[in-house]
Amino acid sequence: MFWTWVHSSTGPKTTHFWAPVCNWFFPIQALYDWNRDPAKISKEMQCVLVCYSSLFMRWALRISPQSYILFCMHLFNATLQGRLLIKRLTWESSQQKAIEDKPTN
Amino acid sequence: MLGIVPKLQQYICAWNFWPAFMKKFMMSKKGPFTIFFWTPLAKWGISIANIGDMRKPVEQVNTLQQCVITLTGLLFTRWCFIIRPRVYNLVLCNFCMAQTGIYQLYRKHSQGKLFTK
Repeated sequence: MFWTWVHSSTGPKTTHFWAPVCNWFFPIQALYDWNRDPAKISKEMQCVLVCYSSLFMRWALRISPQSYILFCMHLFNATLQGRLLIKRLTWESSQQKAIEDKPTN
Repeated sequence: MLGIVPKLQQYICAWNFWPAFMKKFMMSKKGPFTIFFWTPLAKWGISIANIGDMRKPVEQVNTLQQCVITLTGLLFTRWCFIIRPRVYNLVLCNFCMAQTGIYQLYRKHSQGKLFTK
């Protein structure tokens, strides 16, 4: 049964298998960058990735057949990339506050 | 889910000043009131964000993220050719995603910062 799957038209010898697998690298990358310095996070890219995953969550449930694995992947991605986005926005607002609170000579 | 979007679609399409082609587009199964219209635009957003990030210093470019974007772009470009129907918009979108990822990685490499976090 395993070798039937390996040689099938949607098995690991085809792009049909590897393309969705590489999609999982997005949330894995966000997990790897859990403690990334907020100065090195790109706000625009994080916003786009959150929107991208939110829309594809809906898409995964509207296509036929529905893909719950794709839905889960985009759910994780939206959450994890959103966490990095919030980390960056919090850092930016604290930088802004530090500049405003600095006593002017 | 809550049925808001179909109601909004009916309300907007009921306006009289829309030309026939516009009404047909708005009522279509892949029109702007469906998710199938917005998902390719979101994917284009990744390429556009990457192009915008080319002005930023390389320290703000995330190597692993760009590797993932490049790999996803290349594999999905190939995937778009083997599925039916072929959607050339998606082919172009994924190809651009891969190209912008490759260029960002090249920028990091040319400054010797490819493997610095």
